[in-house]
Amino acid sequence: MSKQAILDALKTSAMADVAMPELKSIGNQLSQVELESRLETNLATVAGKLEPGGIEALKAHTQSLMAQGKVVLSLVDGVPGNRELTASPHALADVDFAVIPGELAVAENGAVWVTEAALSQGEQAARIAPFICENLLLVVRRDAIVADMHQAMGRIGKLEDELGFGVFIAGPSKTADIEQALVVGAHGACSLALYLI
Amino acid sequence: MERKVQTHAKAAEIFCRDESRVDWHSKALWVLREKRDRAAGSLPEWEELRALGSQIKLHTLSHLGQYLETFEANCLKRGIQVHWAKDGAEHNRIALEILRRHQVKKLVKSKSMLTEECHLNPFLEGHGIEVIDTDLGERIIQLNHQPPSHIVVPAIHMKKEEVGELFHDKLGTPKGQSDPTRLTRAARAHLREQFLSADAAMTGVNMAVASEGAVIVCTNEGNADMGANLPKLQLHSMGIDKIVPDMDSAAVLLRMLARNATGQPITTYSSLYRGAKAGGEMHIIIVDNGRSEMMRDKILGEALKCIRCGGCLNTCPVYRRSGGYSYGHTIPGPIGIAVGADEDETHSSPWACTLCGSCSFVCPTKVPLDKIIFHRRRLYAERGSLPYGKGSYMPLVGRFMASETLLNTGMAAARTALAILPHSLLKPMSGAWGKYRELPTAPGSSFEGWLKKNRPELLVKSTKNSKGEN
Ligand code: SF4
Repeated sequence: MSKQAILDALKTSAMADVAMPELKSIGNQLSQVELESRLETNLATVAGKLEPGGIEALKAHTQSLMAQGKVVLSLVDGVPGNRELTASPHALADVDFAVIPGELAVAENGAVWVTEAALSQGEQAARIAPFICENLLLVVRRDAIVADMHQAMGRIGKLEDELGFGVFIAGPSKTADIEQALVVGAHGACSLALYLI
Repeated sequence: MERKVQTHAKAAEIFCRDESRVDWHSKALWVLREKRDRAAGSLPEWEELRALGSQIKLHTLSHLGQYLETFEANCLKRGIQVHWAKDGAEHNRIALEILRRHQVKKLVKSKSMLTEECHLNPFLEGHGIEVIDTDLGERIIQLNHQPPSHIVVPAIHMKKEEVGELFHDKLGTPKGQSDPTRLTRAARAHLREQFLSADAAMTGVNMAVASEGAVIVCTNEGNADMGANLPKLQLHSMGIDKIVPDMDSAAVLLRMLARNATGQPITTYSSLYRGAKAGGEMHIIIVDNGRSEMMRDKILGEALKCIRCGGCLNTCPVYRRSGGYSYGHTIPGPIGIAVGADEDETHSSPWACTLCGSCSFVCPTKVPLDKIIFHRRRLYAERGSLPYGKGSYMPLVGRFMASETLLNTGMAAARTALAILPHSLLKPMSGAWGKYRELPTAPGSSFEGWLKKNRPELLVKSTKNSKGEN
């Protein structure tokens, strides 16, 4: 009812017809070295950190975290954890560190694209995982770094049928709502480290 | 907090009484503007992006019916339930009905200017549903019983000591604590509990992608995602103007949104919701509430290109020095005048502008804000409904303001006119704020002080207006 009323009202719009612009040519091409160095710089500006050492360093890190008694949820094959996904997303409130695979990383802003497919373990899935954990450890393949958001969307392309949720994550959660003072750690993760493999 | 019916000039005068506070407010916003300049300047293609952003939005608006239908069809394919509301009241009824069906007692919300516009919170609270705003700034002003004073940083008007006082009162933080980190930690703990005990979540929408049947929600704090991904029920409210054709269009706008808002290269989270979580339900409410009406006027319609970055507020000399509560509408600043002037009973808000054009210059989608604001003045002049105190100038300026030639030659002509035409003729067009054109920076001199010295007649007038004389 209201749908029809709104669509009818729009038929009387005075907005001039404007063609959709061509978007394919915008953006930059960067070498691998530039991609990695810009990613590192921009990740730092959004309060994240690029960790050296790849998957081996990450494994060693989670081992030592577990040895310190931390709760580690790992959704990356081959990286050990001590916590499984369960049916209740609320139950993940105790996770100290979540290890999560990203599909690509964006050099211009440090953002990592994480999809629903990566946020599952066997039968269980939890979209909340990258947000509810205290600290986030992301893993992205070195050849999955793109220069900018145009290229990122180019890679993501038409979304896969089964994708119901995806998120670009750029650094840990933050706020500047009290007198413009930047505070890292608002409602989501309080720290973010990215490992390239 | 009830909004008092008073002209912008009057409300601004009250705000300006505390000179050091005005300076502090202005400076805080200017910092955002400077960060924005650095971020925009770091992209050689910035101007190209603005041109594309503007074109994408104009294209979408000119085919809006079509895109809305595509969007809905794609949402339905994904099992998303789509509702249409012609106004705020219908939006609120739809939301209530969904929440009732799920016996929701507690709703967590993330920032949405649309639900502010619809006055959703008091409506739901009146029906016994607890509503928790979860963005830190929003939570602060909710606890303080105030509406947002800015669209991106809603508590920008409050000092940390005041937040500390409020949190001591409401959240039990130690008395005298005003360190932003500690206060934020306290809010995190308090809101964590709310997220974990909420029955449903509602978010605003930054972009609705027609080709995918998906909504994109941007936050820095992660509150939208902490909300939407815990309870089974998630709702998203969007204006019809939030549609973008596809993911490539979204990329263009996402590159500019945060850069223009706070100078960050992107918000921490840009989340794409395209269907409910396993066992959950996802609803989208599409709201018109005056937007299609605005599009009947091709100048006003361009205001719908806005992506709500807040950039025009941060740069506006009037907003910075008069505060978000001086406007008689939900959204303050230049974009607020462009989309909300009709809400202002005093008809004064279009005069809360110097026509300096800084807002249009920083806008990522090239909303011609100064042109729209000027147009709003003209519409009032044509209708014979100039704001309190300005009506007496009508005989002189009526023809001038309604002049097609002048308006068609654009704002450049208007600005020249401001410089060369007699002041008495232009007063109703420039307003008290015209002074910034004559005195771009006024170091060591407050607005009130300056006004007293140079334009005492205006001070008298605005005091009189406050008593409600017309
Ligand atoms: S009008 Fe432009 S600058 Fe102002 S909030 Fe909207 S997009 Fe930002």
